[in-house]
Amino acid sequence: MKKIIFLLSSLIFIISCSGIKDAGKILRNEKEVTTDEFLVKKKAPLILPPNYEIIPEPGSISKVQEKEEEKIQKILKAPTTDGISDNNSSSIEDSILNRIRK
Amino acid sequence: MDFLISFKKKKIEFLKKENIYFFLIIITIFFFDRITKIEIINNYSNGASYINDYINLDLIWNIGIGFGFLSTDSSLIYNFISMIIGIVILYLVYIFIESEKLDKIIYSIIIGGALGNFYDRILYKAVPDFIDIHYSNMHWFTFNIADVFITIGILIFIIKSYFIKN
Repeated sequence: MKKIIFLLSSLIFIISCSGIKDAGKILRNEKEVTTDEFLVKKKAPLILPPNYEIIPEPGSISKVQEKEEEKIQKILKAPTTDGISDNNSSSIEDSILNRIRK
Repeated sequence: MDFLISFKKKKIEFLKKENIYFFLIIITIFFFDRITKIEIINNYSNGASYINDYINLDLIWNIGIGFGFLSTDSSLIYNFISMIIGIVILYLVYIFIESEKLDKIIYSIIIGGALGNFYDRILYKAVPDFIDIHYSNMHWFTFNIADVFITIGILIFIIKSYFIKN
């Protein structure tokens, strides 16, 4: 028991832990050292990307594609799916059918 | 005269071959502590370094005793405290000589740590502490590897005294 008391009392001398960090700093009136205390970070200048004028605006790509498809259809004069219906049969068909019936 | 004779006897007992393993424990702890301190002084002296959410490495020089007590700029008081610490270590060595085998292991751990801190007191006139354990903004006392070994030694001794009889 005597040895335990001796060891515990000697602990404060042989150990070397410093005081609680923040409390010690406040008691010693130490100032927090920061390297960037007066540093003012400047914003980098705005630079436009290359070929900025050519780049399409957001949302404009789908419309352009639709227009192009319409142009192609006009050039080819391709009939729409509605145009192939039985009601609008051509005159050649009618004449062929009439001859067959005769 | 009797004191000198008994001192010589103790010295002879201390330098016995059977104590070589305990010296090895002391030297290992002492040098392990020294290596960590040198590493920290050379590489982490510029502010705190983040390790994880609970441990930082922050070099603080302690010119006082445990828990930052008796920190003073007076060299007279500092030397007086160092002398007391030296006497305490010598008494620990005396108890070490008198002790049984298991106790000698425990005292070796404590003496190794104590010598580590005492060496810094002589060399730097302060002891470097660098392990900062914290939870959020609540910080525990900053300590070093020598403190860890001293605390472990004393804890083992207390546990052994209560649970192991003879």
